[in-house]
Amino acid sequence: MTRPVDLIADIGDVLLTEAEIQAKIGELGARIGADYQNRPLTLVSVLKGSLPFMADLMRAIPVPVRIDLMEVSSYGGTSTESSGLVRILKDLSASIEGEDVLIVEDIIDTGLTLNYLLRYLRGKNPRSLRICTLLDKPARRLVDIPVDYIGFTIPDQFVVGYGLDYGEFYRNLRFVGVLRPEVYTGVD
Amino acid sequence: MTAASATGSGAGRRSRRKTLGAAVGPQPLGPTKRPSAAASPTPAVTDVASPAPDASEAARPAFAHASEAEMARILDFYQVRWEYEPHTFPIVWNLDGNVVESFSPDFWLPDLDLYLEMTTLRQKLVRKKNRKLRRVLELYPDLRVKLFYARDFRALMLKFGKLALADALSGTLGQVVPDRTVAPDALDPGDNEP
Repeated sequence: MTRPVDLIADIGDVLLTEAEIQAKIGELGARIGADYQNRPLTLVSVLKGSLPFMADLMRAIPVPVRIDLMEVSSYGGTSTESSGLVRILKDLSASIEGEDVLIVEDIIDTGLTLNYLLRYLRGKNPRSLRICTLLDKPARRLVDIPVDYIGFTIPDQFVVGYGLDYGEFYRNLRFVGVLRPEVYTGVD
Repeated sequence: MTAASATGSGAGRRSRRKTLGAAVGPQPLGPTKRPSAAASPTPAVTDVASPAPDASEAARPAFAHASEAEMARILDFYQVRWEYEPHTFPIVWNLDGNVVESFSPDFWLPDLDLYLEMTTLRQKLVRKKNRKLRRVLELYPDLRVKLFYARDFRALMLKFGKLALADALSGTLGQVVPDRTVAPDALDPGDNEP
C-alpha cells in the first residue's frame, strides 16, 4: 500500500453502521445463549479480523464462556512467492477435548481457511463444534461449510472495518464499509 | 503437498492439448451416445494430472493458463486436494453418435465433490463457456461445477493482497501456450481458455 490511508475518504459506502452491528450481535448472543443453556461454551476467535466481533459477542452471550485465540497464516501473506502450506501461527492455549466450541469469525468468503480450521479443530475432539460469523459473503464460496450463526449476508464487495482490513489498516473503524476501488487499484 | 493422487490406470501427466487431442483422435472419450437427462454422470477419464504428494513446482501439470497454476498453489496452501482436468464430459454428439463437443473442467476437488472451471479470458469465450456449462448441467444434473470468472479470480487475489498478480495473470497475458500436438482447427477453443 503506497498511498496514505484515509479512514474517511477511502470508504465508499457504509454497509453496516455501528448501531446495526451491535443490534445484530445482541440477537446472536441471545440465540447462542438459548442454544447453550447450562453448557459452558468455549469461543475460539480467529485473529486478527474477528477481535472486535469476539469482544462484543462474548459480552452478549448470557452463559459462561471461555475464550481462546488462534491465528492461521494467509496465502501470500508475507511473500510475493506463493508457496508453502497454511500454518497455525497461534494455537489454542487450552485443550478443547469434550468441550462445546464455537468458532467466531469476522467473515466467511471462500471458506478455505475455515475448512482447514474445522479439520484441525475436529482433530482435537471437542464435544461439539459450531461456527458463528458476523459476515457471510456466499458469492465467493469455494468450500461449502454449514454456518450455524450468521450476522449479515453481504454482497460481493470488498469491505473493511470492524476488524476487517486492507493492508492491515481500517480494522479500527466502528462500522463496516466498502473500500473505494481506487484504494487498491491505485487508479483515481 | 495435498494434490490428489492419480486415479485410473495409466494415469500420468499430459497437457490439456494432448487431452483434447485424444478427444478428437481415434481414442473414444467414453460415452459416445448421448445420455438421458437422468443419467448419472459417468465422465470419461481421459487425463489425470495430479502431482505426487511430494511433487515440486516443476512436476506440476502443464497448466493452460497461469491463473490455473495460481489456483493450484492456493488449493495446495489450504490443503485442498485437487486433480487437473481428470474428467471430460461429452455434451454434443453427431448423428453417428460420435462426440463432437465436450467439456473438461479445469479442477476436480474430490473431497468437496466440486469441479472448478477458470474463465479469465475474453467475454466471447466466457459466453461460450457459460453455454457449455448450461449444457453440461442439463446432461449431468448431479455435477457440482463452479465457474470462476475473471472477477472472481481478481477478488481472490485482492483478498490475498496480490492484486498486481491478478492483473498480470488475467486474460491473454497469463496464457500459457503449450506445444500443439493436434491441429488447432481440431481443438475446441472454449475449453482451451481459462
